[in-house]
Amino acid sequence: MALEATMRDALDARPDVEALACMDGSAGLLLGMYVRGDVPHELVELAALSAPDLCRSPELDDAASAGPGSPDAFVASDAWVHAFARVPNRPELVVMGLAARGANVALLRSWLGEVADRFGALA
Amino acid sequence: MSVLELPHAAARDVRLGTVAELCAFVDDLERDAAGELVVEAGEVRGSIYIEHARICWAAAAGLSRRLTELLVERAGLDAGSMEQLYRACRDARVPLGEYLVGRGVVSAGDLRAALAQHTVESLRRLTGPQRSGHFLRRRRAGYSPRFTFGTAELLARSGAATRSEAARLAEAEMVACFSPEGWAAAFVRSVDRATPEPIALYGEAPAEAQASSALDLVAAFSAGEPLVAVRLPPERARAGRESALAFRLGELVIAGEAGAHCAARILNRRARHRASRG
Repeated sequence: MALEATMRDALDARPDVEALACMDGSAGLLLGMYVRGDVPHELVELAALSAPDLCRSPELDDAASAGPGSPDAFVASDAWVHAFARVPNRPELVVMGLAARGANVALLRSWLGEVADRFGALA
Repeated sequence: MSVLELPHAAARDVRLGTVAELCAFVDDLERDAAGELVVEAGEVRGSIYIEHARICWAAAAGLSRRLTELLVERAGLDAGSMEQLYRACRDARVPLGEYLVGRGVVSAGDLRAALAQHTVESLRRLTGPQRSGHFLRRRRAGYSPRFTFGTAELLARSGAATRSEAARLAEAEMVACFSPEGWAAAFVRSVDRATPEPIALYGEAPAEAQASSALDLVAAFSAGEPLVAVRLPPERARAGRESALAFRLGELVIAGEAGAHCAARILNRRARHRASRG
C-alpha cells in the first residue's frame, strides 16, 4: 500500500509525466504501475520490464559477470523519454518514469531520482 | 631495420576475403607474435607486416609510389623537390617518412595519416573474394606504435574509404557530442553485409572493448532515432567517461563512453536541428 501511495503522490506532482512504474529486477516482477491519459499500458509495461537490462551496463572485461548495475539510465525515442533510476538500499528495484519527447530530460531524471529515494525510505 | 625470418618457421594459410577477415586474423594472433603475411594471387601481390597485434606496414604491387604521392600532397612539395629529398634520405639510409618529419617537411600527424591511408589502400588491394595469404613468423622488428595501426582503426578507415560522406558526418557528430576524454565508434549497416561496418572512431577505446555486440546494437536501433544513456557504476566510471551511450543518426549508429553531459548535448543538437527545419 505504501508503494502505491508513493507512486500516486509522485505522479500527481508531475503533470508532464505520463506513467510511473516500479520493477523488481531480481524477481522479474512489475510491482506497480500508474498510467495517466491515453498512454498504452503495454508501452509502459514493456519499458518497465526492460529496466533491469538497461540499468546493467555491460562488463567489457567479463561479459558473464553481473556488477552492481548502473544507478540510472534513460532512453529518448521519437515519441517518448523513458527515465530509469535504481532505488537506494534496494538495488533490485528500479523505477521508471515515462514522459512525452518534449519533456525536460534533466528535470525528469532529477525527479525520478527523488522518487527512487522515497521508495528507498520505505524499505 | 631488418626483418629476420625465424628458422624453420612454418607458413600458415590465411583467408583474406575482406579487410575484416584480415583484421580478425590479426586479433587472433598471440599478443607478442610478429610476422609477414605474403599474398600472391596472379597480378595481386604484396605483403603485410604484423607485430604486437598491430599492422606495421602493407605493400601491394602497383602502389609502390603511392606513399610518396600522399606525402607530397601533405607536404605541398613539387615532384622535383620530393625527388631531391628522396635521394637525400636514401643516401642517409633513413626511412623517407622519418626523414621528412626530422626535417620538418611534414608533421608527425601528417606522416601517420599518409601511412594510414597507404596501408588501407594496400590492404584493400590485397584482399578480395577467394584471396588468401601465407603467414610467416618473423623476429620482432620493434616498430613504434605511433606509426603502426590497430585493427579497429584500420577497419574503420577501410569502411570510411567506401562511405566517405557518412564517415565525415559521423566524425563531426562525435567531435561535437563526445568529450575529449571519451571514445566512440560509428557503424553503418549496408544491405549487402551481414554485419555492421565501422566507419569512424573517436578517441581511444579501452583495449578490452569488443565490437561483437555491434550487431545487436544496430539491429535494436532499426527505426527512429533513439538515444540510450546509462550512467556507469562508480567502479567503472572515470573522469570524462561517466556514461555509456548509443544513438542513431540517420543510417549511423554511434556508441561509446563519455561525460555526464554528452546525452544532453546530443538531445540539444537534435532539438536545434528540428527547430531549424521548422
